Amino acid sequence: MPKDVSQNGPILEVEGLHTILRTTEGVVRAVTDVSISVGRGEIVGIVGESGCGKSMTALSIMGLVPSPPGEVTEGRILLDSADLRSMSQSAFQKVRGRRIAMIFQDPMTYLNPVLTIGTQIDEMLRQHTGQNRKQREARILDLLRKVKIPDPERVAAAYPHQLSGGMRQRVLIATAISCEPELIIADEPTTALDVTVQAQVLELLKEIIHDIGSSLVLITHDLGVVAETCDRVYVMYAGRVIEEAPMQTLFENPQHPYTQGLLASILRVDQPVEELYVLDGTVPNLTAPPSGCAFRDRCEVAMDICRDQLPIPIATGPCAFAACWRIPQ
Amino acid sequence: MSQAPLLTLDEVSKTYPGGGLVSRRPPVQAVKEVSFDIAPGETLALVGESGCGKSTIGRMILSLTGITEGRITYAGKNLANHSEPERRELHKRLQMIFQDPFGSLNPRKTVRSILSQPFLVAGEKDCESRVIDLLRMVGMTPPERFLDRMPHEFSGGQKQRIAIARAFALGPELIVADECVSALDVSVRAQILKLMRRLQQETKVSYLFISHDLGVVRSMAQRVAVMYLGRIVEIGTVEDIFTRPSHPYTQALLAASPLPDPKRAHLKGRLLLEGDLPSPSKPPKGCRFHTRCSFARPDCSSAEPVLKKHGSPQLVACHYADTLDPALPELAH
Repeated sequence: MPKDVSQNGPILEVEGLHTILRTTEGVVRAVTDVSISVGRGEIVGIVGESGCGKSMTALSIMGLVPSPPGEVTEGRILLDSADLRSMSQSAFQKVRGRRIAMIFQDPMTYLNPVLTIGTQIDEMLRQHTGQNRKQREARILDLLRKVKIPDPERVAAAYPHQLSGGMRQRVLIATAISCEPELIIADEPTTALDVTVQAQVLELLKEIIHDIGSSLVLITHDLGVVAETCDRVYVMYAGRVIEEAPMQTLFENPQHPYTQGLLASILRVDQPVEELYVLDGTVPNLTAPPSGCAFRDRCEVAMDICRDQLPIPIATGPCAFAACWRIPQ
Repeated sequence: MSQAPLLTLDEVSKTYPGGGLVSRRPPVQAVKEVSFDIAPGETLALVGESGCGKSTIGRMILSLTGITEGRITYAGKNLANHSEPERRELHKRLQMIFQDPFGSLNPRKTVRSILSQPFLVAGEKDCESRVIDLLRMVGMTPPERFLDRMPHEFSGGQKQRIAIARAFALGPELIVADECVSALDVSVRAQILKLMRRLQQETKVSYLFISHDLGVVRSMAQRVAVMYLGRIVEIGTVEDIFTRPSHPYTQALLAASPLPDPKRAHLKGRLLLEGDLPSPSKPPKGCRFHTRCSFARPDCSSAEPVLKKHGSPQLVACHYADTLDPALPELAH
């Protein structure tokens, strides 16, 4: 699939990624033929509902797919042209944290409850930098200041349970940026937060990405968050990317019926709702994915061909693609 | 209001005692002097961030937790004065739907048994046909297919349908729905909300709709009460709250809600709230919101504002509601 990225070439390129999970009920095709690219300095959103494969895509890129039951079976993951899948564990270890970092939804499960915040950020610095104790101490306070934590000395000495949810998420961001990675993957970073705190954290993320010249993959179910943060968006459904477009284009002119349905389902605070739009049905079971288009049973405009043949991505505009048979070739 | 209210809260407060043998934890005032009423067939939404006391109010109405001060009147009678048989009768008319249907449905029971339970408790026999009616009512057809299945066999949306069916079993008059769609995906959420709206039209049930999601609230409620640290800071019709928000906190909440609209998203940065929610165990003196309010003046930290009329029938608890820009003209459409 042709991609338009900045002149220096993309920082991340994922091609034909397949990830499966072997469960007692059978093989779950969690990620099927996913191709994604992230330009330098770009904020890319991956949206979809639960089970669409967006988190598995992130874990696959990070080399963190739990195995067993999971396995990346096919595809190339290129970070700055270096293939992560062919790297040895120890080589990958050096990349993870230093060149790509991840921010998770629930900071409490990621932070160790019996270590102070300072110690946990220090772990990252000790692992990846050759700094001495004094330099690292200064760096930790500097990082905490960067994520706008008031009173960094106190927070560095505090334990995770002594902080609020918003503060913990800031600590996670501080950890993620500690080695100034080229790419940050954030999986639902604000979903567990209250709206006013969510707004602060998103604003902070954008600012920091810009400051350290990093790129961001933002995984979310919330199209509102996408509209306020991302430059380009991938929409996933049943393990596949079904549409990709620059953010403005996606919101103004969505092409895939699923994207259109998702956008119509959003309840907006700025508009009264007379009639609720309902996208009927549920996502298909991925142990036995349906033939043809996975969305066809919920699609209002499905045709015969949708049953038999998988729609291929068709260019719908500059840098925009959608996989739907309704789109004129 | 023309109709007599179904439910009235009158200066209701709830304080959880402090304690702990070693570390003396201070008492937490979860709800302070909250008053509102709900008319038959009406939906009142309680909105606010975590820890604002909205769930505690729901639990007090259902007698799942006691009241420290104040009075809750249901259909003209003080809840505290009900005798035991009256209380049992009342539970047919007052029901609850929780956020997490996985936690509220017994994982070891079949759908048949879960949905028969309310009828058995009410002393009714031969409930099979009524269980089937319930399943049909919540759109699970054909009902016979679902009767002998267990909760884990269902998706989140289906589980929530079962929880709704159970809440409607005995013909309730008021349902407290506590974040009942927060755990659901966008497309499933719309299905459940539509179901709840249809059931309200059919049965004239009232909802106390507790949610942190203002978009959902706008689509469901006729009136909205906004809470902050245990107090109602603003209450009014859905139209008032969303188009003429008068309390700085309501304005900030609206501004912080993500808009799926790139053209308008950029308009909002200016009302970003600073800081975190203060701890409910030591709420700030004076106006509880003053520590995060960009319009706060010196006296806001000493005198606590009370709810007073600001427009009609909107009530706002802010000393300066009249002098504030009736903000967000760009958002108010």
